Amino acid sequence: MALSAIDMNALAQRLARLDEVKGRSLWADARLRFGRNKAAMAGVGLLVLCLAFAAFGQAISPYSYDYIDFTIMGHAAEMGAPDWAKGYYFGVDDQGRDLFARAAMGTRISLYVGVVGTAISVLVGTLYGAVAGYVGGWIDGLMMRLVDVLLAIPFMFVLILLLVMFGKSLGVLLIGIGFLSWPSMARIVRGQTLTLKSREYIEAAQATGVPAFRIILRHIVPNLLGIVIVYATLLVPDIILTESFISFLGLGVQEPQTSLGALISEGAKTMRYGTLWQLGFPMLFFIMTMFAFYFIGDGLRDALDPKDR
Amino acid sequence: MLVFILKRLAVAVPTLLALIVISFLMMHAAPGGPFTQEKQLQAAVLANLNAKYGLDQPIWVQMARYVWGIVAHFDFGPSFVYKDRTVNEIIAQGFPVTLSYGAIAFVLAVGVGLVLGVFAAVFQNSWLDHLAVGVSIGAQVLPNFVMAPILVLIFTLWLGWLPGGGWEGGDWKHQVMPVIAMATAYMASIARIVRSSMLEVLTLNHIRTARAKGLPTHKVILRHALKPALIPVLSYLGPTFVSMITGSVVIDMFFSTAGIGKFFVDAALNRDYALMMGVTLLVGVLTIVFNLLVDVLYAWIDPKIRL
Repeated sequence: MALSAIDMNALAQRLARLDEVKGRSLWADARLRFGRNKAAMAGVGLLVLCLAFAAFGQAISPYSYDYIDFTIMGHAAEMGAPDWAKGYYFGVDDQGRDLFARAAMGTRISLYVGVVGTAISVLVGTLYGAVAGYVGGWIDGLMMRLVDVLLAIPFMFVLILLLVMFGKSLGVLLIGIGFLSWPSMARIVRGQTLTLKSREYIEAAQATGVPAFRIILRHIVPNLLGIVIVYATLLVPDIILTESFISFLGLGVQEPQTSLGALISEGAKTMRYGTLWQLGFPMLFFIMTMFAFYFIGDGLRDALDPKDR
Repeated sequence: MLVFILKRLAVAVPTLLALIVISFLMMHAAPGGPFTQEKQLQAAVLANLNAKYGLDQPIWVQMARYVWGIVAHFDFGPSFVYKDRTVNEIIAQGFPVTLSYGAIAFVLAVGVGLVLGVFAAVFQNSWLDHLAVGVSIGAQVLPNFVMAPILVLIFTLWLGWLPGGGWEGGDWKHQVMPVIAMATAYMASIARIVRSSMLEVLTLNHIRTARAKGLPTHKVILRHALKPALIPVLSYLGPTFVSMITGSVVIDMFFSTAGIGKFFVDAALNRDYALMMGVTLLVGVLTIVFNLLVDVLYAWIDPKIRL
């Protein structure tokens, strides 16, 4: 009995679909697990909220982050409370500046430092760790001793020294954080590289004469991605924390720019006059950002960590 | 074991040297110096001052002198800014303060974190577990610089129970808030680590055996589950203790406790090279010592680990 062309077509389509389901990759599987994780999805929601606030907050506010309202300046306690009619959604700080725009600016800078600092750290740490692990031998030993030495150096103190010596600016802060936080990344990556380098496909690449550096870039690094992504996501809140810590001390981002840490610090200084909105709103966004990254990081670890399977 | 400790100490020496070199180079690479003031000093005066503190020598001579001073006389040099005091004196005054609230905070974080984590694991999925997990997730995003203002707001401004700052020779009222502010986030992390490692241990065979032979739950936990469950926590404790010392920078500034954190920031702002070096080295030494201690404890608690 001959099948009609339509039937054949339907069958073909069905088979195609079946194939699609069968070939579930590591990444598709991870996506699925991540999507089922409620805390992680809540984290994504929070992060989207913070990102939107950072991106559009300054545009939404009728005031710019450095506009000074001289009628309120110095009278924040009596006149600076959140006032929707005037467009001061989060209130005004003691200098008469709109806190909504400033909180948006602070969130933007904190996220920016977190992401760029992590990017520097991941780039340096991954390459360093992959090279050390792949090359092995005394070079590996030497490179890892250097990491041990760097890890034993009190990070925060050196960062403060850097900032005081080379100017309290966003650039110095970023470079300092990025270059001081890569050693632990390098260690994780090296450990993974050691298990990867005895795989057959590496041997195949070596046999066909691919140079070592190309093997690292084309075959080792892509296979490290899972673990690198997980640790990078968990590194972002750490770096935001460091940045806020430094800015809280007044050594980080400088006026009129601001960051969440600097805003919290200002809020803490003025809270005794009853201007609690100055403390509350920056703290809210700080806590939301931290939660978002922790939840996403935990979710990604559950989704990507092969040990958990 | 002894060989292991000696090996680790052998790594510690280059680490400290690296720390000295990095800090020294950083301090001297930047423009300005401890005697740079708004009112320019006369060239001769400046030269004399620089000569007195040895700042006119080449940098490697300064470095060598500095290291020699520490090795030979345990002398960290005179402070450039607090003219009548040496770095030794300033650290001897500030460090006990930091150590006092730091150690209490450490004990509190470990104690509460441990208890929370163990109970959460033993009564997994009960209300107690949910409460403990909730508390530890909430507390994890409350670092010292967030906790400190919140505490002052509640206990000083609203309730008026505790003084908002000062040290007063370590009177307990002045220690409560620094301790809590410092301990909260670490307590949360410890609780989470303990819980997950305890959950893992509780599924092991030797626990089932202990239960099967009729041991009451608390004995199973204390005798058989606690020790293996503590191993992952241990590796966290070394860095934690050092972070607490570092955290004192915020605590000292915010609560005006006279710990080393405040001296460090002052020193950095005033280019007090010797004081900066002294504090950085102190923290560096502590880092190394505590990491070593943790490694030794590790081996002691888990004989499987070969040093």
